[in-house]
Amino acid sequence: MSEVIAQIERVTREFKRGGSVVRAVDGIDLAVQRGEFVAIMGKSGSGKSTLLHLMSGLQRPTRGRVVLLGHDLGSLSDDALTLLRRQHVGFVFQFFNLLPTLSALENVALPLLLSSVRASEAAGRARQVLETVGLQERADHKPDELSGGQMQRVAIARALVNRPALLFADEPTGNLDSVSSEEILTLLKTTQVEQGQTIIMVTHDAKAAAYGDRVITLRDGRVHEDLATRSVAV
Amino acid sequence: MIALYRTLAARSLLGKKGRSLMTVLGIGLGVTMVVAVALTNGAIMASYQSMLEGVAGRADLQVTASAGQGFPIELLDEVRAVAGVRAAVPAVSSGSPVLFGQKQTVATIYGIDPGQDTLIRDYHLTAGQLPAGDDELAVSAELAGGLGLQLGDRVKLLATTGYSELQVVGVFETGGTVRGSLGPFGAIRLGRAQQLFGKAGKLDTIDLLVAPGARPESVEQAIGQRLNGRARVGTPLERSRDMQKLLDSIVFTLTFASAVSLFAGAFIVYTNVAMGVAERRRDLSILRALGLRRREALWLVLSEAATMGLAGAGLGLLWGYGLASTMAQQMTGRFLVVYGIQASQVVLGLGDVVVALVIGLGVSVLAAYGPAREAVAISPVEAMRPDDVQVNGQETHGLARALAGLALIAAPAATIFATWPREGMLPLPLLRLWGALAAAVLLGVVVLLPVALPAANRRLLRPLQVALFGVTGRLASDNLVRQPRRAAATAAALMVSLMFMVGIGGMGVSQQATFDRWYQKAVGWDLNVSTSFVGIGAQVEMDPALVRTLEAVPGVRLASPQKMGRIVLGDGEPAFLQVFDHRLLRQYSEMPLEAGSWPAAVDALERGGASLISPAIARRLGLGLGDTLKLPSPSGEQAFRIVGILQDVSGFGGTIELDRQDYVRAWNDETSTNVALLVADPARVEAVRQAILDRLGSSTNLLVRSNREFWQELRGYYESFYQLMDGLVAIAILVSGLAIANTLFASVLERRREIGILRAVGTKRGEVVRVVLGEALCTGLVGGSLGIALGLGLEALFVASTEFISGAAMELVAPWRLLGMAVGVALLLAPLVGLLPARWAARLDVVDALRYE
Amino acid sequence: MRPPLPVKHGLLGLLARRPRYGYELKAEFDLLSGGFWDLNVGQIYSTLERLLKDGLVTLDEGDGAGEGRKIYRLTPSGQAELDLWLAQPPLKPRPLRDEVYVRLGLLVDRDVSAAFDLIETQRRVYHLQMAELTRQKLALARGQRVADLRRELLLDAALLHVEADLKWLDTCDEKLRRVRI
Repeated sequence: MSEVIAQIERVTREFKRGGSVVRAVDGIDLAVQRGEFVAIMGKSGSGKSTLLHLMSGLQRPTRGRVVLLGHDLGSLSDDALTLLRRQHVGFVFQFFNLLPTLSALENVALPLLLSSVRASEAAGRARQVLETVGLQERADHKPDELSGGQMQRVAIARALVNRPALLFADEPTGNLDSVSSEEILTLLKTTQVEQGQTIIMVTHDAKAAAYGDRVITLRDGRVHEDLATRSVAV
Repeated sequence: MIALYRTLAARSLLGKKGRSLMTVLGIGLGVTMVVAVALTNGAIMASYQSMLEGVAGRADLQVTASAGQGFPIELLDEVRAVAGVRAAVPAVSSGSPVLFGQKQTVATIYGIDPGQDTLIRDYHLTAGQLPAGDDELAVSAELAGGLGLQLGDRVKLLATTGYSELQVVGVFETGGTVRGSLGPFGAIRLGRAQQLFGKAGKLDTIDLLVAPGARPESVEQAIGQRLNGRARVGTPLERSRDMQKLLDSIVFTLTFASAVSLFAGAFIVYTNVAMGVAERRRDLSILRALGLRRREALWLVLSEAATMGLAGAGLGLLWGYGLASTMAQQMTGRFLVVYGIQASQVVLGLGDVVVALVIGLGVSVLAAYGPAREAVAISPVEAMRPDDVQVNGQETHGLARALAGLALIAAPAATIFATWPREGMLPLPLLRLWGALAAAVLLGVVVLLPVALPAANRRLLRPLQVALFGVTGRLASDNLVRQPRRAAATAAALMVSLMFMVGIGGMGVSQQATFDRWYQKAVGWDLNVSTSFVGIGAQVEMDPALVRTLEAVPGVRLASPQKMGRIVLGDGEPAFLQVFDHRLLRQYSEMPLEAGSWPAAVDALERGGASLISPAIARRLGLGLGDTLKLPSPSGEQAFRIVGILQDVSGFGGTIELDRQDYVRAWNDETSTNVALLVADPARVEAVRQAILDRLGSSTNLLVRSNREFWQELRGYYESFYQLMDGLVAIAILVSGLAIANTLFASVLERRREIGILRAVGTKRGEVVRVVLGEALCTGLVGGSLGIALGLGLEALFVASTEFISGAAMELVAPWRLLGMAVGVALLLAPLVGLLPARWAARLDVVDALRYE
Repeated sequence: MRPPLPVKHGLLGLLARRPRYGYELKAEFDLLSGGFWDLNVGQIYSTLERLLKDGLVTLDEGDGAGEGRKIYRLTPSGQAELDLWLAQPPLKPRPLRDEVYVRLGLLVDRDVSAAFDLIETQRRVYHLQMAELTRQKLALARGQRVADLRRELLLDAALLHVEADLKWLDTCDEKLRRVRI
């Protein structure tokens, strides 16, 4: 249980903002083990979202190396990177980000359909995953007919449908009330505990971060604290 | 606050340079067409009128022949004798090639009586004098300049017997009463002109001055009674009506074309304003929250559209002016030359400028009104919230819209059906009404489309796209109907362009097919000889002696004089007159008949007193097979028994065919327009042609055409018209392409976040491209299939109605090549112009896109 | 000076459901309070004594012998007192009585870097505590029993309080930094 699934080395990411260069992530080293639930905390502007984008291959670093599932992302073409995301990475976002024209079931099945899985099989698997998030009855509803919590559960189902090696969650509770937040976090935690799902979650909410085995606090683009929370008595 | 908004609006206009430019271009192209058509029509009419005025000078009334070759000179004394006539000045005129050394130009030559003519016209001589002797010629400064003529130079004129030499004795300015663009012209003595142009003892015009105190109307009436059909009398300007009739059928199509491109331009404005307003919803709502009234907000958005509309109108004026110059020149060169109209000057009047600005402004403001109202209708608070999940664009007034659309389609269709002429020609106001009704049907389709689109998507597009492209296709087709009104507007732009392409082009194909079939039967000679024949008439007729010379050329088996020209019927309307020696004609041609049998008809024509008429004449005069056709002639009214109804393809208001013996007797004219030849040995056609050129080439302007060449020449008239149409179609398609690209940009812009999601969950760039192109393809499919269907409908309408619009019957032919092209455009244009927005979508930064609201 | 814990009313509430043996009351009270108040048996019995004296409960001697056989019962005046208390609005704002406040207050003008260290270590403690509370919450079979719900609500309260403390530490951190610069 000590297999490194994602690793970044001296990763820096700079942005141009109005003529000056802003360093959002400043030389971070980090390794995530298979099965871990890592919570990344920090104030807004601390670089936590950028770190997640870099680790997941949504953005490329200005300097440094990102290794995901043994692939050095810098050496992959955009298509290869996209395929890696499609097959091995799941995403959950703050604003649910479901496609409004598709039903819940179709949204969940989307990554499978993109991988050219047969429509009937994709629907079957999507239905299964929807069941695990408790939304089997809402399968045929469009996103605008679902509550925020339900939409986020559909998003999680979509992220999980490919049995990804890694699940990235960017403020998954940022737009939810506290009870829905708890449901979502519990759902994530359950997938970690029961299926050994590796989860990397960015949040500014300490309550959400408390679900992680590791709470990493960023400050000014650097790791301020990396705290293991497991099996420590209070 | 308004200043603040102006700043915002100006920044957005400048910030979205590409889109603003596209809007201006769209309107510009639309206005271009309107301006070009109006200016071309205006230029032709103006030049025709000024020619008439120039020729008529100070004349109050004019006597003209009802058919080409003039009227007897005796009428001059009769007219002079009518009470109230102060002066009657005779003239003969003819277009004629003029040669000086190596240079050649076509000029109008007037045969005048110098002593009397100055009563009517002013000649401001800059050198020399007016012709006094038979071989003397005075030329306009323009003609002198064109050929580089000096006093004393000797030039050659084409006459019915061949070239004649004349000496330049005077040069005059075309100012004063002789004004406008007459083109180059010259003046010779009346008697000489009669001799040169085969009009011995005849006149073409008598210009009349009415005595002081006499009413021109009553004088006109008195002269009319006196002439009794042997010639016509009228004010000079009345003749321009004939021209307008000819132009109307052309202008109708052109106006239609300009309406189409304006339509497409309006769609561009619509999508652009809709997009701009959606983007600045927040700006607007903040201003609304700060206290901007709804009406003010609406006004501001519309003023932005108006700015672009004005800019587009300016551009359209410029382009339209350029296009009109080209069009006027083309039309002049091709089919107006016979009417003596020379290259015309396109004049941009204040009225045209105002009309263009009003149209540009009106169309853009009208197109912007819908989106602008939607933008200001939302409450300030609502707009400031980020919309996470956009509600599917559901049509709230679906039923009302559907009913309105159906009504707009059904009512005009029913009206057209109800007003379909059972007999007679289609009156011009009704023709214009039909144009408006056709536009209403189009509008109906446009209104109906947003309602029909979602249903079409469910039934057809989505299954098709899913089958072809899987889930990306599914997303593409569903994206299309999320903004049904915008999608409909875009598809409609393409639809209108393709409808135009298939409809007008199909009419051309039908017309050409009809013509080809007709030509094969009706034109059977091997060679055709003339001196200035251009297909529908000649400037200078040919003397009978020429026919005899041709007959004597070795290898010529038969020489048949043919006469073609205009005749004005008793109802004052023109028709096309063709005169054959049927004893000869029957050996090489068979006139296709709609009614009657050719052998019986040609026997009757040979015997004399018989005629063939086209259906247009039959309709106009209410005559049929076996009835009697009465024609005015210089020898009084002539009666002909109708022995057949011709199949007509010319479309110059109908055709009448007579036998040569009757014509020579009644019109006292032995000249011919051209001579048809049969050769003894068909394999030696070229040798015979060479022999003719050798024999006659030096003494006259000789045009020898083979059967094939003449066919190509005639086809050229159609083709030049349809080439012009092709140009317009290209513009319309270009504009609709712009509209599609534009809509796709809007679509991508609105769905940036969704594209981000797709990319995040593992959609490759190529697949994102497919989603956008898929949407484009759907637009193409909808616009294309509707456009093709409507285009075929339009073609059918055109073909069916042409008989009572232009008098030419047409058979409906499926325009396969055009259909193929239309399908190609429908399937390829949208994806092609979609490439840019699609690539943009694929290259979006995933993280930025996800962040976008 | 610590404010009195609501032990008295907690016991009255437990007895209102049914009479109980003395030894039962300690375990029941722990469940009710989520185990966060380290009450000893002595505190329970001293409170019961006071309740007996005030006539809010009565004591029945049961069979057998010893303290364990005594059954406590709520009297009508006890019920009245409980009802009155339950109906009362919360009396006072939560008192700020944490040691951290005092230590931080003292360090601010003595040794700022020590103050920062304190904030860091304290933050770590709070994170770990939240993680532990979250684990406890996850361990509950949600929504099955009233007792679990009661315990979950308490855990929520605890989590939110710790979160407030964390946020306070962040604010302290921020403000101290500004002052120092």
